[in-house]
Amino acid sequence: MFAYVLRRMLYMPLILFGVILLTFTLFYMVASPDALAKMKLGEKATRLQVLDWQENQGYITWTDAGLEKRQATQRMSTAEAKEVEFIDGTDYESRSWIGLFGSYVGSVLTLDFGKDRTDKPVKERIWEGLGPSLSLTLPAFLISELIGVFFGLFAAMYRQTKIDHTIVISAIVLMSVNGIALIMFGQKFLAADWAYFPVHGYESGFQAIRFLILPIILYLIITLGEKVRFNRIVMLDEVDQDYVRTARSKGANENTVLFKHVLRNSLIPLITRWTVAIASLYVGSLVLESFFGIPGLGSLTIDAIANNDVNVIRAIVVLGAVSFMIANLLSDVLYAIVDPRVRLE
Amino acid sequence: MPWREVIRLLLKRKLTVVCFGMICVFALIALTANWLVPDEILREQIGQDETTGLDRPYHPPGWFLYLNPDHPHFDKTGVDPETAEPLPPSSEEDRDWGVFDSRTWHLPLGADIGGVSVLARLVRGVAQAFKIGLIPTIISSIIATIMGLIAGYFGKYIDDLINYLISVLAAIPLLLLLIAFIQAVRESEAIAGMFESIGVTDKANRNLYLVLIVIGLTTWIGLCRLVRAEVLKHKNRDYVHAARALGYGEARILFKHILPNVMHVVIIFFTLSFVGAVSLEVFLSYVGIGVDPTLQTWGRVITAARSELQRSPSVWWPLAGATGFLFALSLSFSLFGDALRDALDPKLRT
Repeated sequence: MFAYVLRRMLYMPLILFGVILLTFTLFYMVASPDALAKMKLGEKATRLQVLDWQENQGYITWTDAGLEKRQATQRMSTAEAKEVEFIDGTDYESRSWIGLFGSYVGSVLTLDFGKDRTDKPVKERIWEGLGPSLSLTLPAFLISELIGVFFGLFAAMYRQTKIDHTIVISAIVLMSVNGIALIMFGQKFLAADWAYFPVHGYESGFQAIRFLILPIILYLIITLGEKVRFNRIVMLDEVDQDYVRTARSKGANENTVLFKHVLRNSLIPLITRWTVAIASLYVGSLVLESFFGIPGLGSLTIDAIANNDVNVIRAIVVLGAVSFMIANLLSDVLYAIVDPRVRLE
Repeated sequence: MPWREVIRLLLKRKLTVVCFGMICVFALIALTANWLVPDEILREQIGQDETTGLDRPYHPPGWFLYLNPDHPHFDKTGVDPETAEPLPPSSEEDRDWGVFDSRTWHLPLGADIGGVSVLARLVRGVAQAFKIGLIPTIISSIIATIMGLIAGYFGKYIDDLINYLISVLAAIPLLLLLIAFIQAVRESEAIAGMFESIGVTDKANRNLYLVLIVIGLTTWIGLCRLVRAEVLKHKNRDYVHAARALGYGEARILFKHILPNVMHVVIIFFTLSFVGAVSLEVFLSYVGIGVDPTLQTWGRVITAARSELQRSPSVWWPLAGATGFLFALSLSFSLFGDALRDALDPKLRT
């Protein structure tokens, strides 16, 4: 058991390295620093603004001559300032890829991603967003998994009957309704028109419940279909196994067979699913949060995309990957606990 | 794969046949969309509507006006072109259109803020939806099949390498990976140049294709694992040994002998991935990545509908129409995919 977990853990730095390499390529190498600066500051940005941004992001460092020139430029009028040329090598030095990569690895390992566009540390913003996000996604996830497992088991129990067909078809119908459209209609009718729920907003503490009920209900409707369908297939794989027949022939009643034997054995695929889902819970629900004005990580992400806030996007992507890896390790450990065969591999 | 048996199983359930029919109808609409909806219908039409005499922007569906003679839209009759005075509202008796009146069936899904028929937009959207569904699916299923075949068949370090690649890609949540990818490539001059060389010069289309390719490049992981697992089952079967004993090359064994036996996994993936990509586009349009507002996609209609819905009186028809189209397409693909899975998967064939 210990050796197994250790082996899994040793695999993690390797994956982390791959993730860092991939994200570094995406963030730093595909788009040139000039293009990134233009995207952030707009096409009309002056050369000095672009360079300042790049210095701030760590792409370049000013030389002494460059700093003097920069100060002189700031005293000039805008028309004059436009004429000033900054030359790579004498006025500033571009950092090499290796240097950039080094500082990127450093920022990932210390989880320090600089400041966002309002000059607030990204770390702080993520810390602030975590609470609201989890208070939406965690209960929503738990309830939907519970209902999903129940219906999945129910459908598998009555497989190839009317009950099963009805459950499957309703699940597919639910899956086919577009989530974003459903949120729009839900917010419009249940909150705005009929005023059962607040339309928008959030308060911390117990008051939050009032604002979270409708998003949670919508989350349930959006995700339930897929979960029921997945669980049904997983459980169908199990109900035809020999051990089920053995349990039945032993005289175990149907409930024991289902809850003690089938459910336990279908835990492996379910655990994989849960850990993957839990890892993405921290992001919150991107769309739900932004619709209902919940100040979580989901709305932070959407906001960052809309405003090209590169630092925030980088932080979210890297944190997503890190939490996913941790969740994966967790699921490996859980496998070993649930299934003794895994330990022997 | 006993294809005749599969077709027999598919034909057995009426629902499957209906779904397949729907898919065919959608495909037909997609192929003829440019002919069904000429460009001039999509041009903004502000002013009085010729048939109903009401103001054209946000024109409700004709049947909705017929059912609701009190609808506030009857007050919106535009302005007199000569005096520039607002015209009087439609008279009481004129609001009672018959069921068979042409006005009742005018603009069946209403018109949006530009006075453009929502139905026309959505029909054009069918063509885009097929593009959006097919391009990523084709790319990802090709990558996944080849990678899965190679990883499963050759094993050893090739398998380790591909597994490592999968683990790395899978470690980043898909939506975030997509966002990072698209952020990175959309400003790249090299990629813009590449698109220009194949004849895509217009920026809106270039970004859309870019997004579709990126979706394809990032969603092959699941299928690759499935194909690999299937190949592992097959590679020590007798027929593979027989083929090797006959002296066939590895490529021939892989693609001519093993591939047909794992093809069912790919086919099932195809229908599911198609639906996935189409709904992903709606999300990406909402978030504002890669889908230009000038494109006639369903995602654009839905995104634009958010502010329309909050107007008073509520403009719900563009959203309802787009949701209906999306629902019909996803439902028929999902149900058909499900039936296909039942027919193709020998384990479920009881």
